Amino acid sequence: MSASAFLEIFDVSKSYGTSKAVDSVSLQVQEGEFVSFLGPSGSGKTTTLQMIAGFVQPDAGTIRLGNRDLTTVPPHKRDIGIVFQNYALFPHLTVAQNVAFPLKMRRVAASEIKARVSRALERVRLADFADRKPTTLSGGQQQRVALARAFVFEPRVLLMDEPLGALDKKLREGLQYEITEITHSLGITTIYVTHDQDEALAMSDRIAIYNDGAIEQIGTGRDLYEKPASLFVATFMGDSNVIPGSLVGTDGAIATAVGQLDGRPAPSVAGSGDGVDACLLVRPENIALVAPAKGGVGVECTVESIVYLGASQRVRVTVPGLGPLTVAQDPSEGLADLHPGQRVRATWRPTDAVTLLGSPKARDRTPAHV
Amino acid sequence: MTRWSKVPLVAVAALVGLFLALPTFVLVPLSFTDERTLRFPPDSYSVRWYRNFFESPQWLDAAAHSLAVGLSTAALSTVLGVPIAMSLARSRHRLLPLVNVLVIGPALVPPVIVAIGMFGVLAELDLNRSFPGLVAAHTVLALPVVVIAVLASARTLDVTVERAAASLGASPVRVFVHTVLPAIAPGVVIGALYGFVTSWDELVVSLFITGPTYQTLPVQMWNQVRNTADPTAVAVSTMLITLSTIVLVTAYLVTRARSDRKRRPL
Ligand SMILES: Nc1ncnc2c1ncn2[C@@H]1O[C@H](COP(=O)(O)OP(=O)(O)OP(=O)(O)O)[C@@H](O)[C@H]1O
Ligand SMILES: [Mg+2]
Repeated sequence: MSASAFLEIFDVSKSYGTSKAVDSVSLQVQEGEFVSFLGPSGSGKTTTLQMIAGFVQPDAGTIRLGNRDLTTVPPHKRDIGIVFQNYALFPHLTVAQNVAFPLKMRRVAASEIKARVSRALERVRLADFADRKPTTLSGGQQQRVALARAFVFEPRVLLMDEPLGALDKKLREGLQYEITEITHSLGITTIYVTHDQDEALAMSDRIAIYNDGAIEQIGTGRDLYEKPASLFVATFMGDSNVIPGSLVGTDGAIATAVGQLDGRPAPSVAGSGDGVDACLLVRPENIALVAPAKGGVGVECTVESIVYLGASQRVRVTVPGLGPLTVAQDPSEGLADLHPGQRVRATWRPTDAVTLLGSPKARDRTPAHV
Repeated sequence: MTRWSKVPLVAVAALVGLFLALPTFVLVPLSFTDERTLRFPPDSYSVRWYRNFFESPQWLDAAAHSLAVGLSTAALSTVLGVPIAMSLARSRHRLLPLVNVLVIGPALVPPVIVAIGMFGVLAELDLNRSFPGLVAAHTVLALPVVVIAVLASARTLDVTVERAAASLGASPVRVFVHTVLPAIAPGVVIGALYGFVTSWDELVVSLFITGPTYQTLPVQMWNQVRNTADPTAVAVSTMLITLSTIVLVTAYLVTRARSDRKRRPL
């Protein structure tokens, strides 16, 4: 893989004072790939992006693009387009002049500039706004100008730092589609920073989950959701039930307050011994509620509340000695006449449970999705 | 505010305006007097005192000196003031507050103190009564004005716009020319204009460091009015007021052009 990687970040670090903004990040991106950086505020996403763009000098590590070492190349010679959250358009230039700027800097012939600018503006549906000043456009329109300006010179990599962060939800969804449509049809390698999990899932080939200056895990959305490598990734991506306990052997079994439970061990479990803090992750949609007499992997519990959501319903149950679990189910399936106070059994297939190292209490900082 | 409650405000404003403008109403007719003494209103009118100005080598020299010193001061204080203002707006170096105090300081100190200090320093360097000495002294006075004017527009500058320009292929020089300069241009123009005006009508410091061999217009006027009180000084004043008005109107138009651009119709 590393031989063919187009953009390669190797062991890059950056500190501000005593705090490490980025701590030995490595990443390989294939040509034409769309990779998102997703993670909590202050986890080092922007700093990584700025190092790729050349605005921040890494303390250590190398960045290579198409087999050329970029580490000491100044930003204007990197051939990397960048789109910022606040648009960063040139206020004294018209929309067309903004888009023409990178071509002018490259001394492209005037006739070609004209043709390429109008093609780019058509792509972002702004052909009618060519002679307007950017400040007379709406936020979504301004960001489309910034996008056209960033891809018109066919950069080798396109970086976007929360480009839709300032726009409202409805507009965001339309633009998400528009952006991926453009980057895919032009085959531009893209790195996209976002706070929004759904956005990352909708747009990316792969997602890098950032935590504390490091990439916790990188993979497709499905990988991250179904095979999280750490408790952080598991709880950051989607809703989850976390049952705390300690390892029994290395096959994924853990001892909990309600007895031993089995799960698929995450790779990190293999190297750990008996008694280490660990927990079992079960997604709400993988739990089924059955009559208490029925067997199967699971726990006895009492129904607390039922919230009907149309296509699904969320059932909250309490497990004595363990606490609450959330169950998402199809309202038309499962036990008929489910009601609060009812004693039931929550079961799941052992392959749907993942055993992860760590204990949820040490992870108070992670967003609670349950 | 209702229509009636505005009346006192308008009245006070009108009175203050009248008070400020009154000398001008006296000065302009007086400059066209045909008499040798300053009496208002004059009995007869002529342009003889204007002619006197343009025929007197002493007056013309003083005007030429003022123009040269003013333009040089404007240029020098702009060249120094723009980078200072940019770093004050940008950098977070811990010594910058000190730079700020040093640059803005002369604007807060009474002119006489600056004048005495300047006189001492320039005497040490043997630059009193010379063109370079005067430009140096006036630049010290004009620099705060330039820095404040440029700072006002530099503060509105967005670093990400510069970064965007760099990522699009602009070298540092072109980033400055294409993004920074257009944004701070109105501030630079206003700064240079005020820098010129600061030097052009500076009297106190100039009195200390000019002499009979090298005089500026304000110093020449001061000496004339004190010694002979001949109406040439009034004619010169009228011309100076005209010039200042032109400069201020230009500055106003530049400011208005800038605020027009900032407005965002949706
Ligand atoms: N110029 C700087 N000076 C000092 N500290 C900085 C600087 N830039 C970033 N940091 C710190 O580095 C850490 C990582 O910041 P970064 O901007 O990369 O986070 P982020 O993941 O982009 O966060 P967000 O989602 O809020 O944009 C933060 O703790 C931040 O305070
Ligand atoms: Mg950021």
